[in-house]
Amino acid sequence: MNKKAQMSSPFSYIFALIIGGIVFMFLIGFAYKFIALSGALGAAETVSALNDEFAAFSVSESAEKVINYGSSFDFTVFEGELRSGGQSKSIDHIIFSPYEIQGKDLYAATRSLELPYRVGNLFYLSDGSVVYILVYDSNSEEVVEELIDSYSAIPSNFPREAFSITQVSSNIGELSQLTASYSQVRFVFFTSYDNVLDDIQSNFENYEILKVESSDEEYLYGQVEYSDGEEVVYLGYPLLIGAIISYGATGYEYNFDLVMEKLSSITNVYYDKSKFVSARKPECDYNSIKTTLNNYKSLTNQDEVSYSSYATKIEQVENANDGLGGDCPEVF
Amino acid sequence: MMETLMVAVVFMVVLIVALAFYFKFSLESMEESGQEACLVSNTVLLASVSSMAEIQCSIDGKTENCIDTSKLIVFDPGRTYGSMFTTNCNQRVYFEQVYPEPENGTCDQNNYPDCTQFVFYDPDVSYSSTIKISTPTSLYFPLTEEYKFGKLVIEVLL
Repeated sequence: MNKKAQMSSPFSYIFALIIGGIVFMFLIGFAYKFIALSGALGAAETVSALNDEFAAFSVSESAEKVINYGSSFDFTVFEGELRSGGQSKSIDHIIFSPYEIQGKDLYAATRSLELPYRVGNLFYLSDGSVVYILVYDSNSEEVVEELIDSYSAIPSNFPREAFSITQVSSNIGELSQLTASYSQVRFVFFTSYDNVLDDIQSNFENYEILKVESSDEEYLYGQVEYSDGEEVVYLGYPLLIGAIISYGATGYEYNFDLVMEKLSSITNVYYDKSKFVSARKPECDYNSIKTTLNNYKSLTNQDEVSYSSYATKIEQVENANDGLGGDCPEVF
Repeated sequence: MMETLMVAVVFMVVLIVALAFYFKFSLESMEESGQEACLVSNTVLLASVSSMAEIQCSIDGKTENCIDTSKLIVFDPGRTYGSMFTTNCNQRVYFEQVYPEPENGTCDQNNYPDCTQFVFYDPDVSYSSTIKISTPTSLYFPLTEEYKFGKLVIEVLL
């Protein structure tokens, strides 16, 4: 009997060890799943709160806000997804932002986009670590003034300054000191920068150069060239601001495609409205607006369209709408 | 060995019962948080729906704070966007003409503009209860260039 008891004791220990191991593994697995769940909930809460902020924001045609989270945040915005702590959640607004946003204060802003009718609101995010330096010459001075100090300007809560090309070339040292507290300096040239490129390279450690080009006097439509040589098209100042704030051509183009999808939907609404009103008002001639809206809608569904093509179509739609009035109500 | 096995079994049973209770309460708490977030989102939505470019007035090239009823008639958000709002719960969204009160019911291209209710978004989902929130709004009729008093109603489907 004693011998049998002695034999079973090691088996009991091994058995207890196996059971204990299983329970331990179960608890560890549970803890990991709980951490993942908490992370997902945290990301969902952040995105949900941001979505609500943006939805409330979208009532205004132009607004700016500083959101203080109380603690530090660190997330990335990539192709409509907000990623934080290994979790990601899609966000249903068109947001232009740097790739990574971190800090305690989140700077948010919105601008309404009209091409020529309102398409919706574009949103911009910043953590205040990048300063935007807009550089102009005599031809682009008024445009840069408009982008710095007007209703459709770059958000005033985003760090930004404007200098003439002469000021940049003669005071590059001072400019370097002025921007030393920012992690990156983003130069946006509305003129040629060949003469100051060497000075910038020797005075700034972390910088990027963007070049804005347009055949339009007011720079309403044009293209932006990024540091890596990639070029993107913009239509209106809200999209130009989006291109300036975006981390690169990829980030901008994703949002530009969203804008085009939205523009196509809105144009379709106006096209359907013109057909509806036309049927109710047979005495009015809506053929011109119907044709131009249909052509415009087709253009928004095409890839790689030049900004001048958009500008021409927008003007045609505007003219066709202006031709209505009186007893024949305008479509927009 | 039997004693060890019994202790392990009892321990596992107690652990599973405890975890089941914990998950039940956690789930209830999460559902409550979800419902609260849903109501907050829909209250925000109530303020923002009227500024959606798809239905907002644009008169003489200028955006105005009213709802263009002819756009409501021709625009079907379900067809265009599929899921319209990404709040964490479903909702039915419609506009009602309050004054002058017309006789016909739901608006379509045939009875427009003599109708009461413009359904904007109606998801095909089942629900057990609803919470109705509303806000006054101005309805614009471009054919007659008239403004009428109406309200935007969101029925939160729970």
